[in-house]
Amino acid sequence: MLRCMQRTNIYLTDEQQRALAARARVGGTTKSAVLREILDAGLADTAPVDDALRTAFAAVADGYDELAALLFADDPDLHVDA
Amino acid sequence: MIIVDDRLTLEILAGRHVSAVSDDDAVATTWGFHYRLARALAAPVSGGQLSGGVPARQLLDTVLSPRPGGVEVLDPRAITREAVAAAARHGLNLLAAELVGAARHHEATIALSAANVGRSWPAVFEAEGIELRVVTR
Repeated sequence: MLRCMQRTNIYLTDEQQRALAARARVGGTTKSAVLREILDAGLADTAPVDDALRTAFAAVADGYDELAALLFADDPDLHVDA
Repeated sequence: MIIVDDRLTLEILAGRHVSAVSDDDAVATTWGFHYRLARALAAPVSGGQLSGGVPARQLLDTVLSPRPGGVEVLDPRAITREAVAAAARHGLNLLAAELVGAARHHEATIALSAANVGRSWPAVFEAEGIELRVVTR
């Protein structure tokens, strides 16, 4: 995949440098490529919940008090007023 | 840190502003409230399909997948001593004991939706020196 890239300088610890170099050697690629893969994976994990999910969570939230009362009213460990 | 309940966790996941929580707060929930939310999303009464055509399973998977910067689920093992002590002092159930224990252990504020404020809880929180914020919508 052709990607538009910008050069960036970052500071890494000796341990990070060694680990990065080792992974690049094993993968037959460059340290930069490994770093980009790690960043892609890490940033994907922090992607915000998308709009469809937010709408669905809002719908659940609006009816949640009744649902929770139904589910947990008779549960001695999980209801809100023992 | 501010500890929120299951309903407020949902509000945050919905992208709604929760008045008791500021942008600077580290937001967390207890394992008990986390379990309640997951259990509710897995409930047959919620149906297989929710608003927007999103399957309930996808909502459950989202709740069960920790996201950096999201609502942190506090490890209950770390607060067992405080939870047990609070339960012994006030006769709390597991949900409330964990909540009080977590707030004391982490020196956190508690934010609850109005429906989740147990009748005896405000007095317990006050006796334990825990700040309570109640969210009404």
